[in-house]
Amino acid sequence: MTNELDQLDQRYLESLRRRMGAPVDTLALLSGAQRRSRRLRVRSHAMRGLGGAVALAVLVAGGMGVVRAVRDGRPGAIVGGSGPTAATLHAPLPPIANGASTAASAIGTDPSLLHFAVPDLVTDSEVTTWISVDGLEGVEFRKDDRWAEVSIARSESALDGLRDWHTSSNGDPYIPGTPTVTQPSPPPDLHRSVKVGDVTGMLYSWSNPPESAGNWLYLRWQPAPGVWAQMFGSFVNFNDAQPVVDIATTLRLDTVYRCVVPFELTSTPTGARLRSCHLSLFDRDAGQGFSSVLTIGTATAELRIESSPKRAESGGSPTTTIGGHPAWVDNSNGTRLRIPTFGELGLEITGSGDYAGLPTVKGVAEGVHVATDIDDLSTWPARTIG
Amino acid sequence: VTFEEFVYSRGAALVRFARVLTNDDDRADDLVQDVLASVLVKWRRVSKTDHPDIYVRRMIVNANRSWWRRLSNHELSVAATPDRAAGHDIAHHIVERDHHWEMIAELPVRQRAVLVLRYYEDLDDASIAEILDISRVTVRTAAMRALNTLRERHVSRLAPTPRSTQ
Repeated sequence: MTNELDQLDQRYLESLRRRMGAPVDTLALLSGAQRRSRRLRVRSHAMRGLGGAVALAVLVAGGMGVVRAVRDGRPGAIVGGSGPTAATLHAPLPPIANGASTAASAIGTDPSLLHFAVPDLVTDSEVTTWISVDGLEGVEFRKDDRWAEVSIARSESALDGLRDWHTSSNGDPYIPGTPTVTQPSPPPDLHRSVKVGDVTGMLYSWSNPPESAGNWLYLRWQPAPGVWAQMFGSFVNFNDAQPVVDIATTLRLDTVYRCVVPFELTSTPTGARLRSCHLSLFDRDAGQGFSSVLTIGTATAELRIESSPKRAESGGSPTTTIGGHPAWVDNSNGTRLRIPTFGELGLEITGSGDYAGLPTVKGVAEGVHVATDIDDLSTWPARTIG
Repeated sequence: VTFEEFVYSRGAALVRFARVLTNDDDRADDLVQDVLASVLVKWRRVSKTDHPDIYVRRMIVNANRSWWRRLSNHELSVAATPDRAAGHDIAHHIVERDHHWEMIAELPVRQRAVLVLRYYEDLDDASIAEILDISRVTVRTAAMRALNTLRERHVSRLAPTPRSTQ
């Protein structure tokens, strides 16, 4: 009990305790929650039953909002409304002749670009995450009790390594500093062949643990020569794989998007290049928001720049300032510079390897230019590195 | 921990928290059942968070806000309690207790929530800040203002009513 309450009439606290201490029937609470949960699931199943791919399309969000279509190297026109989750910024390139084989050679070669789309998916996902790294590109989405990710690469082995760079948490937006969730491996004996458009794919479906309500689905196929695709996800009480296959068939390889984040790096170490671009947009219980992670570097050095909406300052007196903003330095693992309020952004920049020095990290931080309005994707810089 | 174990161990605390937020027992039960239904659907994910309890409380706070927005239903002010005759019998004690609760209930919802989480649940400011999606400074400020308001109301209630000279 604190002094402030000691000084207050204890009768207020007693009144509060009496109010709080009224009996609660936890059994009724549990059964009520279970009953309503069943209704929620029935509702989502009913939605799925309305029509194959269209019903499952609700899985994916305004994920198109996280990337801008590239047209002659410039951002595409804005098609949708304002705000991260409402914006639809995709303006596909004109279909490329022999597009799939053309895209195949480019997939995974430039982390600022994504060379695919899942265009039939609608815009009410709770969380959408776009990821582009060396050798891999992907989008992940969550809606209610389902989440899935679609990834493409030029080889199966690249897809096998997906978990090494997976930075989100089974459909949750990646929150800097939080542990990620390891995806389970599909049991090799629980697979069957399915048709994905004109090609044959391999579908794994299993429960893990076996008694759980959720099912894992894992589909791998070749949408075009030289391109491997994978869809992986979790679906509660969901045993019919056809809607998943239907989503997979909507994958297109004739569209290129640019990954954007709400800031631009105008000062980077010599030789550093973009190695990954990662952006989550979400609209769920905790409200709308985003988080982004860029990594730049060389073979022996890496800088990781994480952003999210600004946060409350905490953690004692600041260690330093960046552009007048209080900042905290942590040297326990490389150099981590935390700037809870950098304009409208919260930033964390971590340097490792040859970039572990504080001057390098501070130099990058001082060159961060924040978007004019972080809530309006149209103001986000077209380039991540200036 | 299973969902059932979670509800058995934390359900009562969640309902009590919701009662203070809503100031309406029936609505609180409804709110918590709704939130727990959503939690059950994604329990595997929720259970992997570091603090499922904080996560769920935050959902309750947000659901209460949504409930307000959806129904345009604003909290009803408690009518002023009429003066009671002085005395120290049980009835008077109950009346006094109710009056104390009414004064707490008249506080803004955030201040009420902070009082409950801080002094009843014994949570630290960081956890409270996470649940209510506010800064730790705001937690401290809300607690201070709530206590000051209660003190002032208590004093003003005890003060004699000025008589008219007309």
